Amino acid sequence: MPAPNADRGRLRANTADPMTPNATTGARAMRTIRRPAALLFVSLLLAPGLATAAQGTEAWSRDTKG
Amino acid sequence: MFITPAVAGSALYIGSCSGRFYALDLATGADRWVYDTSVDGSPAQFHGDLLIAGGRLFVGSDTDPVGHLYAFDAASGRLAWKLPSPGGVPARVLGRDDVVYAQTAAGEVWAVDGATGELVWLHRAVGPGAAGRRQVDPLVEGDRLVVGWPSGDVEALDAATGDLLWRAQIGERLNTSLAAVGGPVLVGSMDGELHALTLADGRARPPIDLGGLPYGDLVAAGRCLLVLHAGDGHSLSCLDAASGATVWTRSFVSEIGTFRPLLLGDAVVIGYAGRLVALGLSDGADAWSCAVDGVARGLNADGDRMYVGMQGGTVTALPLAQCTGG
Repeated sequence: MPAPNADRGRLRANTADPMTPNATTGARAMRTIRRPAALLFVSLLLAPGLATAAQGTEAWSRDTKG
Repeated sequence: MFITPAVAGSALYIGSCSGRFYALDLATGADRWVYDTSVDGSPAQFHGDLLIAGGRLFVGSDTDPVGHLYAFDAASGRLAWKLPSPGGVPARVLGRDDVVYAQTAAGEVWAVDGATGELVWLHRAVGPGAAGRRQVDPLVEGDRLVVGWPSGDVEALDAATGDLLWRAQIGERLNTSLAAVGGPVLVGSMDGELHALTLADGRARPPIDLGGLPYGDLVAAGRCLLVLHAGDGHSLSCLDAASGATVWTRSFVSEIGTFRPLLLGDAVVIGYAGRLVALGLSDGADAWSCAVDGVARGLNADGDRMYVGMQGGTVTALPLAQCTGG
């Protein structure tokens, strides 16, 4: 199956995105709010469900490692 | 993982950030089939939501240097076709009739014959500012495909021909999916506003100031438009779709990590670190909450279970009764 655009080599020059802080993070991840690590830590501590994380409530659980 | 898990038949479909796409048995979570993108060069990520139509599953992967638009037989996992693009296809794949629409990180929009993988038309955005792996989800509304680019351009295309109908410049980087709720095209941007453009001609209406950064997917629920935004707190608002007025807002200490609020009956479900919360659609009041082991990202549900994709890569099937007390 041919690629839908034959002149991709020319377009490659346009793919660099200087506003993207970390290209490996992924599109959706980059939409999240960037905050200092310390503030994030405080937020996690205050998350009401964290201390009571579910045990045995899942019908099933799978790890896709990513 | 960030993709929304999809339920079809007796399978759950979800892509990971470690290069694999999974079809899982809905009852047990066991593998039905797995596609490893390493065979296409390098492990790719799946950030854009998938489309299932006509027994086929269409999904985009994104990575550097090349990601793909894939078409699988949903039942068997047999690869029907794949199309490469620099950076890949990081946004939601849409469909209309037998045509699949994909927005690429290279600044292109493809209309592809879903059966054959042949290109129906191709639209190329203007300027290098349209490229990049941070693309927002497009929208099919009637006979139009509306796309937004990182440059702030929003374009309406004829879905059948790809002809450009109008282009509008928002003036800021886009940060939410596109949506339409019985009227204008809506999109949130980095300046904290929700912009409204007339579907017919792209004319700008007065924007709505959210008082924080909008992000994720705009979700229509009747006359309510659900918008995630972050400022002093981390909030979900229901805006009146007609007037833009705020009907209710709920704010949380932790970041709302589920980018697409899930509609479930007369409630909307969101998640943050360690917990899912259901809020009444009419007033935003607590309906129920449920502890989960991790940071929820993608949500879906069928009759009696919720399916949750966690940031760390775990997929969990959670009986609803354990959350609702039913």
